[in-house]
Amino acid sequence: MRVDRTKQIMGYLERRYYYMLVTIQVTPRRRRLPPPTPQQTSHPTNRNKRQPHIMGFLHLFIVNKSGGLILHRPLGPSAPSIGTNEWLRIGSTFHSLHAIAAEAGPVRLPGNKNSYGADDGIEDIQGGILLKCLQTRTGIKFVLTAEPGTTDLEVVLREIYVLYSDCALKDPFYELEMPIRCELFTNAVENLIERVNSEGAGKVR
Amino acid sequence: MPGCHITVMLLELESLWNLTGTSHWIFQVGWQVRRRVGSCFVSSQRSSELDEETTDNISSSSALIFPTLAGVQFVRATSHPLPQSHKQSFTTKMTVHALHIFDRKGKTLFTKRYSQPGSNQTTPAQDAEQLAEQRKLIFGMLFSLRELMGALTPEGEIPALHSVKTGACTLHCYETISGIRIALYTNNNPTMNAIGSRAGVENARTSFQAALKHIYSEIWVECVVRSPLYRPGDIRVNEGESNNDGDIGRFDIRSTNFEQKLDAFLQSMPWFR
Repeated sequence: MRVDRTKQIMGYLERRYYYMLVTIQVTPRRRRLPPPTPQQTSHPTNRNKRQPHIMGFLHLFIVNKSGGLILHRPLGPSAPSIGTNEWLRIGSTFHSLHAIAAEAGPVRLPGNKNSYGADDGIEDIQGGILLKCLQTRTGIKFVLTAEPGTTDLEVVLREIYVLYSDCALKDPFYELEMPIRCELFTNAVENLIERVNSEGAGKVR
Repeated sequence: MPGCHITVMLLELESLWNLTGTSHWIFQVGWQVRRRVGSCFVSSQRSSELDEETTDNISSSSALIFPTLAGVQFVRATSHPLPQSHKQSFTTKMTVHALHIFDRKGKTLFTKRYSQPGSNQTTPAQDAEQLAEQRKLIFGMLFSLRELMGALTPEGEIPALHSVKTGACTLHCYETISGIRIALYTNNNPTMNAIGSRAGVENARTSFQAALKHIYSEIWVECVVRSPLYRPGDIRVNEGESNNDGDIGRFDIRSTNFEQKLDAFLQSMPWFR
């Protein structure tokens, strides 16, 4: 009887453990990024090759013209994890600050339009991180953050804009200004970041 | 302004120079080449070819731009000799627009404009009001941006805001532990940023930060904080508010030589015109 009781308890514990394992292994909400490629210093034939630039991309987020967030995506392993509500807050705060920065400056561009025909606003922030913003004529803002020391953020940002117009806008089921749920776009962005991390920004296309 | 775009192009073309065989054609890869209304592009050429044709006015040269499928744009231009030192050939406009100092609560401690606004139809009273509005906007923006950066920065890094660049101008910010924020508005001239690197190794961010730090520690602290009349929290804003009777008895920054020292320091900077 004592053995039965032990078996009962073990069965109970096993079931709990099994449930725990099952919940952990449920498919994650977003696809995990591949592990970063290790630096190739140890391999003897690679010693003479130039080290790739350390590209530490952190986040990409896209804000529509009313200030709502339509995409947020971590791009690297060192990106801080930010909850969805916080993302929405960040998106709308950035939207307003973008416009305020143009207002608060002592000089204005003619018509408040910058050289690309879009409204003037924050283009670049430097500090603890690098942040680059591209605003299109339609009012959509693409914002890319990266660790300091990352180069060629504008090239990557432009390429992301091209990917957006290729994958998201040409998707017949995508509604404008709505959150982007196009797998083609997210895959393309991931591939782009992998390419840039491994080969440098010269190989963007 | 033509000057800004041309400087961007000239800097980028330096690295691509060796790719071109002829000196008349310059490869410009990327998206940065744009033609402004009525203005033209100038490319830099080997100075040996162009000793005769020098133009002072950059925008008077002509250029042809051919976009190709690969995004490469060929620019053929007439002459402008490659400047030996960057300082003399670019625009001599003011590169520093304004300087503001805020305290922790958002009150303006000091403000100074170095360039006048273009429009003449605002009266001085309206101008002062506009300036007060702008100052509040600037403080609010710095405060919110600092929080935003704090949210976006990974754990290993210290969140800080060094500079904010818009299409029109750049705002450099330095913040002390006591909450004093110094904000400096400058022009968007990339060669100015290249010149402004004092260490020669790092980019201008370091040197603007170093300059602002110097302004705080050597000029502000020395002239204002150590002045015997200074009382923290009781500073009179000195921009066109001479009719404010409640300010009598408060400490006035004009009684120190802060402004003179500040002007002297800024003018000694290589990036100040």
